[in-house]
Amino acid sequence: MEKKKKSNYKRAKRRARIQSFFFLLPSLLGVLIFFVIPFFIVIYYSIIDNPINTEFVGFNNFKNIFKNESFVTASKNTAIFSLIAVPGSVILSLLMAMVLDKNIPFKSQFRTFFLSPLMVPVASIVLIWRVLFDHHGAINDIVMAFGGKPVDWLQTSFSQVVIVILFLWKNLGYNMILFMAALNAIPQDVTEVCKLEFAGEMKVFFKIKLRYLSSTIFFVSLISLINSFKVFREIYLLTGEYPYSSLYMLQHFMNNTFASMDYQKLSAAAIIMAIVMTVIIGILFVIDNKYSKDIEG
Amino acid sequence: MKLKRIVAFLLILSMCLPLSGCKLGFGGDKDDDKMSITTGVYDSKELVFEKSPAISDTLFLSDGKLFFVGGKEEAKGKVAYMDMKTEEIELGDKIKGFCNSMAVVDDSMYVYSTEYDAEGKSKNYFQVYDTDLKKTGEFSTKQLKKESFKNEEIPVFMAPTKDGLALCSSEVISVTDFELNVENTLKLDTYVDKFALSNKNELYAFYSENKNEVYKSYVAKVNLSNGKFEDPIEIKDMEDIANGVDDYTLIILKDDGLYGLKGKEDKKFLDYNNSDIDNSENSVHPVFSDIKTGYYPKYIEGGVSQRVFIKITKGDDQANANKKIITVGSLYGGGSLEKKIVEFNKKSKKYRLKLVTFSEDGEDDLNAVNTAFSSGDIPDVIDFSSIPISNYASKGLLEDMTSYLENDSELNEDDFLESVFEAMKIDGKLYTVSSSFNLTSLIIDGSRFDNKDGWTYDEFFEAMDKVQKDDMIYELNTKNEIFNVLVLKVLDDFIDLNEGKCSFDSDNFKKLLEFCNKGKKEDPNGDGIDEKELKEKVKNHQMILFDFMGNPDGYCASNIVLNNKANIVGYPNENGNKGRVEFNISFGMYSKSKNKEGAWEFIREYLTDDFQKSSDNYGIPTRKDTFENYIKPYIAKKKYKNEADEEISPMNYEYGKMGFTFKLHPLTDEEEETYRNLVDHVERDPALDPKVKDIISEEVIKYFNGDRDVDETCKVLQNRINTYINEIK
Repeated sequence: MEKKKKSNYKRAKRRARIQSFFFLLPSLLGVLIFFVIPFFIVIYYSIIDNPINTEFVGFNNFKNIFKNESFVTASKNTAIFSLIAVPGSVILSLLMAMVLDKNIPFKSQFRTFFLSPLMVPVASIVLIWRVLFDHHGAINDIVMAFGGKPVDWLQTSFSQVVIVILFLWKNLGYNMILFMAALNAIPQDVTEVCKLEFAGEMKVFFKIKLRYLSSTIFFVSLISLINSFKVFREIYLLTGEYPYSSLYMLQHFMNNTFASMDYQKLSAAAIIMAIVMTVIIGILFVIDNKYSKDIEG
Repeated sequence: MKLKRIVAFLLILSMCLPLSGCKLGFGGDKDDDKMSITTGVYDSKELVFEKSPAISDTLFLSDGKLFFVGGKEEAKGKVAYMDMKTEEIELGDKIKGFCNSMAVVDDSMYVYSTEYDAEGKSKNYFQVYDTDLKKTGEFSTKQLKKESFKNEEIPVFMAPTKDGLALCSSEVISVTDFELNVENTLKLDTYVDKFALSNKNELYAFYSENKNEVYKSYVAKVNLSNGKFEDPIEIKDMEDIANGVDDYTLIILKDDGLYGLKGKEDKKFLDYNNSDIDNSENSVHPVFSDIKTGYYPKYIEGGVSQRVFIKITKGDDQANANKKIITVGSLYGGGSLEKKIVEFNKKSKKYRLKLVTFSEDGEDDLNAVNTAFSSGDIPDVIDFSSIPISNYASKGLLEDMTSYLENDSELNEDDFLESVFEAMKIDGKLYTVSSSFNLTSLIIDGSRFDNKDGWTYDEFFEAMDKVQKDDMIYELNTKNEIFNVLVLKVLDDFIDLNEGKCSFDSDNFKKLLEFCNKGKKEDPNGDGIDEKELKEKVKNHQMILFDFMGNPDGYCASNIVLNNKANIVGYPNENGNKGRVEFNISFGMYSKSKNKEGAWEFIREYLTDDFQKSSDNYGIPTRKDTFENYIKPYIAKKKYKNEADEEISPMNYEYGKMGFTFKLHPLTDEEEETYRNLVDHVERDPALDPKVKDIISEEVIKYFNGDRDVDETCKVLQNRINTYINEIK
């Protein structure tokens, strides 16, 4: 009897396993076809000389890419942009959230105002920026009104500043909303205790609020980092495939090498970028883990 | 646990698939390169009639005879027929003018023709002949014009009816008796493209309708009592219709073959490719006696209206089995390539060519080319006529064909113009071969400038320092046009892709830009070129640069306009080459093709004298012997007979240039020597990525518009193009 019960149980378990496999299969196939296989295809392209000859060259593509001046320039520009834009986005949006967290007049109007760039389509953003920063644009008109010479903003070393402003203008609103939600989630009793203990605003912020905000800061940093790569879209529409060197980003390099069938360079660059991103995100996870451990328990 | 194992197995499998470089299109070649059974095969044969080299394109089949209008000249043709059994022709009485349409009904042949007088005025005739081809009468067209056809609209089609004829134009049908008295005029509901007779002699119309900006094509039977269309049938991709035969109500002509309409469905019965029929000029308009035998007239090269009959008969669908397939890739195909493929397929016993077009809608789409190449779907032969070779030569895509030329039994490097042949090479390798080229250069007025034997940049700038304010630099005297005619031709002096360097911030480039900036600004509302002003400037030696487009008559014209002082000086450069060549028809071979021999067999066809002297080869031929034939009409001082036994007179026709009108003359000995010298000293046009030219044009416009000075412009150009060069290094 016992044996029969056991075998029935085993049969039922097997049946359940087979059924679950078939339910999983469509998603599994989708992940395989659209994520896993392409990932390994990229690795394959990174170890051959070109898609036509397909000769195995080992790590030569990786060695060559580090010697490629365009890749080095693109990496440098992307790193500089991310190092300025991401912390800038986090700090400014946090400051704005803290201001809007107070009871100030026209609070919801300000909120809508800061959120509105999110709703503007990319083509319109590009148009606005072109109107502002073109050689005959509004900014140069102001400059000339003050007796200065017009500047070709997108083809000088000022170009990164223009793009950082564009990035911040576009993304501050969303990050601000995330911080506002996080600020509202800080337990009131803890801040009240601090006030009772005569703790100053700065102390409350750095010792209490920042700890509670650490996961949100981590999340906003991650999102901002990802968005900092997406800024290629606006740069491409403003300046084309080969912009001035200070605006030449990693994605320009990848876009152009794809168009010219240099898949080996593209794949090698993509793998290096993926490794760097993994390291950065890993560091962010470690920091977040350290600071939010006592909050999350 | 088992599930985990299955998932792990699938992951490992997906990793191995790409790493094995398996043949899922990752650069692999297809194995099955032999033809299997094909369908719709018809054999074609030319029927040449010496007594009737001119054949009308209108034919009418009746009672075992194929009626047409033929003779020595179409304009003075005679009614004729070909007996289908004996394939012999009989010529009858003359017709007046050109035959527009004809019909044979009730033992009479009706011919509608148009004659033009010396002043170009037309007169229409309706002439009737018996089936022995004797003229029996002529009818006036007055009543037809008055009652049915306004504005002298010519009936495009004549259909026999029970009691007479139906004369059909695009909007009106005139139903008449046998004496062409109008019995009824029917206004059609819609514009008709073509008419044809069904297998039961009923009148059908082919028309299109636009529904929500989508054009749909229909065939429908025409009711001859009220002009209405009955039971319209939508047919996709229909281009024309022809008379029905056997079980097919109508024959539908499409881009790829002939289809028979049965009921509401059309079915292909003749495939042009498989039958080696050249329909690149839409020439196939057949008349079938039965579904296995048809005829159509086809233009041939030579005199006006020269046509032959092509007889098509049902062939063996297995005839091409076991032939090796060679793919020919082209951006958008084109008439002369398709014609050549048909010719090659007809004569080759071992190979069969298959045309693959990269761009589906006929637009420039290099992305489609890149996608095809990177997916591994690379054709054996690649048509580089519209594809820039610079992108692919360095990627190992192309075979160096030097050894194929060396080992060819009939062709030799010495057969070709030396300088032009060297210009075909890239990095010393023959990646593409070309049958023709365009030649460009610069001409200057020798009465103002001494430079004759080319000029370096320093010499060019020294000469251009003499340009006065009132001078006109170029015929199209705008900054952009001067830039296009001068700077775009010398870009490869400022960009070295091999070394990975560019020098757009050099003094020479800056000076070139400053020189171009002397031109006028673009005026979108301008009236264009003022010919009077142009003429005055040339007369007063105030025109600086003349664009030379490479033909000997163009050079002769420039020399006449400049009173024999036209110096072909070329573009500034350091190596003495005065001309730039841009190759027209060019072919390359895929380096990993499995059918290199077959590929060469096709490619070499373009290097033969036969092809290079044909009208399909546009431009200046690359072969020495063909070039001599090409230049002969321009240099001959006396009448002579060419290879086709036609008499050629010395060049003496009227020509207009820059407001001057004059008669050309054969090139003098000096002019001939200058022209030959130019052809002997040429370089390839800068074969740069179009992106580079786009970047340059983009930045230079800002300078020409005054938004920037020349230093800033050159700095930005240097910066941007440096990025490009470093990227592709």
